[in-house]
Amino acid sequence: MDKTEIAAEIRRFVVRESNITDDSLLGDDVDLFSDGILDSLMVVSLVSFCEERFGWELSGQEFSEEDMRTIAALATLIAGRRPEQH
Amino acid sequence: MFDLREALLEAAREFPASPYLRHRDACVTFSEVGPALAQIASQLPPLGGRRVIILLPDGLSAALLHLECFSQGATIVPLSPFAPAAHVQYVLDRVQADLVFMTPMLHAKFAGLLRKTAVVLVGSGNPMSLQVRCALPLRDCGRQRSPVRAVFFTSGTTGKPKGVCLSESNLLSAAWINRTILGLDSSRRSLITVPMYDYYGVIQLYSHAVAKAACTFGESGQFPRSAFEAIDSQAISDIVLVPFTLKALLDYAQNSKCNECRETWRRVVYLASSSDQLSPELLRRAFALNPGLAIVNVYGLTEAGRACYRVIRDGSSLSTSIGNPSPTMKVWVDAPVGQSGEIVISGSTVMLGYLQDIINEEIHFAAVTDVRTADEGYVGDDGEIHLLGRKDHLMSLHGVKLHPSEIEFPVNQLSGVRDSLAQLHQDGQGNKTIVLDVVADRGSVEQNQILDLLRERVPRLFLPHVINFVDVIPRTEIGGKLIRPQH
Repeated sequence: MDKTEIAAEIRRFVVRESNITDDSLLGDDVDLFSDGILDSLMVVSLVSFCEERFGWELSGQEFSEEDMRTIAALATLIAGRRPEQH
Repeated sequence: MFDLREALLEAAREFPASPYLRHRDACVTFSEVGPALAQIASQLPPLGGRRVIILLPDGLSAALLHLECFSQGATIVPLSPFAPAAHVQYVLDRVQADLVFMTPMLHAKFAGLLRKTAVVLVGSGNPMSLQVRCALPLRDCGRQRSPVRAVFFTSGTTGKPKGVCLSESNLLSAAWINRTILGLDSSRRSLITVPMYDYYGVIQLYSHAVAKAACTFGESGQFPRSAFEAIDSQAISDIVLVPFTLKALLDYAQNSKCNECRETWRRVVYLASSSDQLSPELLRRAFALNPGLAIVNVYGLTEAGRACYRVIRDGSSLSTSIGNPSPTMKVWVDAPVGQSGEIVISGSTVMLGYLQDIINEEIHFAAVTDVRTADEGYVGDDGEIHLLGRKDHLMSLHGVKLHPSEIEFPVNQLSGVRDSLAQLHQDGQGNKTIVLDVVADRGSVEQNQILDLLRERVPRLFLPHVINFVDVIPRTEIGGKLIRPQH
């Protein structure tokens, strides 16, 4: 799965969870914090979704607000990490 | 008391280049505030007497809008952008707002609720762009200010949110008290980790204005690395937080590989904590990393803010004291001498009352002169008020009442004990006994030790019948409060 596909999946999740009616407003570079989309509970939900959907162990990593600020940033983070060996 | 506009003008004269508001990389100095507010006002209809909802995430836009709306005499209703649609609808119906300030994204989220309400879309960028959208003409309010200058909706014990109506004097008194008990001045720089849509966050804006001090918004315990970077780069002296955030910051400083974070923590001078008692464990950890820290624990409610405070330093006795009443406040325990009872507050920050209705554009509230907190407390031998906890958590055995914290607090002082929870247990025959769960370092404490201690502290009736050593005791995510059943 490439970065574009990852970004699309994340966008679908965020639109669904935040009840945004017009998803055309949620571009890859929209600031999810400044625009009032992500709060602490949503961050936890989003991280859980990413771990489950993309198979990456994110919660054990040291990621910052910058890594989650936009859909593009989060997709870049996920695309760049190697999956955990199970 | 002080005038907010005058305070900002004075700060601009004395400290023009000093930062006042910060959010991430953006900063507004004291000399820039006036022009920024004028630019906002030029894009809006007159706000005096209007009821305005500010539905924005933390940032400079929200801060400046709060200041301009307050200065013009609007009634401000802060609302969390993360509130569920049902709550937003409830507030819209109760307040009958003239205007709602929101981002275009939030408008997309709540558009279905706002068909009859005028909306101001707040753009990002500097200067701030505002786009007013009105389906109907705004009402002519004749610039008559309401005595209600802010309405904060709390959750309330009935489950229906209550609208706490606050006057200009309530808000500015709370700000003045905050400045006074913390000793805020122009040398101080605060990291505010509580949101601006909360009473606790809003009064920081006003108190830092009158103190001519800097305040940084937008950081939280959710991203401790970002918080430490801000503390370091902005030479933060004060952190305004709740116990949960303190735990998150300490966990990060102690568990991460970031030695710089521990150094950064040592440069913090003050912590201002509210919303819940700080546990002995948290205090020990905070002082272990920074023995020079001064922790100001403030007790109050949205209904009666900044009521009591206690300064805790390394070596202070650990107690359940909430300290002494703040200037202009009176706090007492409604009980015969020597007994525990409900904590009651009166004074300058006590609300006007709870919102009842809007009738002919006038805000009606049920007026109060004091606030019964629903917290249980007693006056200690030290003359200070000690907080036991919520009244509805009291345990009753054969007509004798005891708050679980009277068991937990002394147990938590034992070396090796990290946490504890006392609960009333009822068996199938209706017999009630006390069960105590304890989190402790392996081998550090035994059951007999706990019982020996409690024999000296609590009535025999309340000695735990069962003591369990457990790995963890559940606490709420946000406030770190024990999750207790109500009796």
